[in-house]
Amino acid sequence: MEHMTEEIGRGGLLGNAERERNLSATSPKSYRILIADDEEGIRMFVTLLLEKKGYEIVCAPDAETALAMLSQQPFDLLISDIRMPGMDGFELLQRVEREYPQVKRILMTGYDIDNYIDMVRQYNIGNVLSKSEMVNYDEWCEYIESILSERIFGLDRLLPGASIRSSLVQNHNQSREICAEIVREYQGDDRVYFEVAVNELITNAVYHGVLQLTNVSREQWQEDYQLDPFEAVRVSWCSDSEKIGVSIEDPRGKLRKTDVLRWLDHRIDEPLGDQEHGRGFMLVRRFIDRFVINIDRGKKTECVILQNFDKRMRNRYKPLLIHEI
Amino acid sequence: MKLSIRTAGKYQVIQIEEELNVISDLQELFYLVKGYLEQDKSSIAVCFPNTSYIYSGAIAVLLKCFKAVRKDRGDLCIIESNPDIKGMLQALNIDRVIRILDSEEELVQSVPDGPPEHASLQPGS
Repeated sequence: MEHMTEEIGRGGLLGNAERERNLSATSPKSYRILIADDEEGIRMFVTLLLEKKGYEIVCAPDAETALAMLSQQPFDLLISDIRMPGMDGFELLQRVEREYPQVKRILMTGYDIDNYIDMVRQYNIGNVLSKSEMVNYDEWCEYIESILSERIFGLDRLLPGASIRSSLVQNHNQSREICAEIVREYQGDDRVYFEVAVNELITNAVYHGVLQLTNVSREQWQEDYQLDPFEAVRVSWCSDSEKIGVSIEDPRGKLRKTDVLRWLDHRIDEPLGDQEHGRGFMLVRRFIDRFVINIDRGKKTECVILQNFDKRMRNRYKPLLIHEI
Repeated sequence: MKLSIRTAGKYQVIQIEEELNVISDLQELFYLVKGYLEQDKSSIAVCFPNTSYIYSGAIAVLLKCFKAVRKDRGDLCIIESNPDIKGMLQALNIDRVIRILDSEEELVQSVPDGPPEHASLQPGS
């Protein structure tokens, strides 16, 4: 093997109780969250969920009330439903971004987020959570915590308890070897799609992230690249009996949320010139259960995928998770 | 890239014999299609019987080939792809632009009528 795989520790060998304590410890009571949703049951459920984590929750039954509350009290985060009577969630988030830019913003919906991708792109929204995920209490709270704390990087946040291994990709052979090593751990019966996803993300990190060949046709890309150690792409992965997670990091941080949204909103009937790139991200979003994109502009980009081996464990509606700090 | 070439009716069939996973393969495929067009052979089928997956680079080049073929008022379609590849092409709505046929027999019997009406990929666009 040309590449060196290192074990970089365990992604949180913590029991639930200890994780809970740690999460609470990093979730000061001072975080105030405003929930805007016209369904009382959802407001109650989210309140119960997040109050347990130590957050202070205030609820509004519609966007207008939420805006009135924002004008009177400070909040750290707004979580808004998309469909509400009167002003919808998109418009509310836009107003909040303009009038209260310090307030972080998340949309949530009970519907398929992919049906809203054009609106999400239009309003440049990075985080849309599915209400159906709320049954996965820890994961839902983890997203909220990541957004509030801006501690967005790291596979350990999504797959606690597993042993994380890591390798650097500096050339094409290493890329293929590492991909093959990861894919060997996959226990699902849809290995092909997982392999495609890993390949696509490594390719994206190398060619778009590091080599900056976004404006060059695909058939012109060269495979004989050799990256310096400081610009190498780091691939980390871990698995447990139920799922596997992979993190692909490039050190340039050139990816932008707007690029990702444009790629995910690709339509086949757009002129071909606009379609040269971006299908890899579409494939990953389509076939992988969780696809998280973390961006620290100019410093680092991380794409994380998380796949349950058992298809029945995968969510029908996937969240959209693009964190840009 | 290992490939074989044959004729089926008026179609030139390019059969990809192994995984299409390196960039030089894409260049080869693109220049092969361009070569056919220069010989006024503009009915082309790409066949993937032994390929387990296709990645986005290959799809981008297939679309580029399709565009070149349509510019010559020809037809490019995909035949004999396995269910995984078909699933990926469908996930990207490629089947709305490029015809995907199950077999060579179906290809020979089919009458290309241009891209489906709902796809607005115009030649030269």
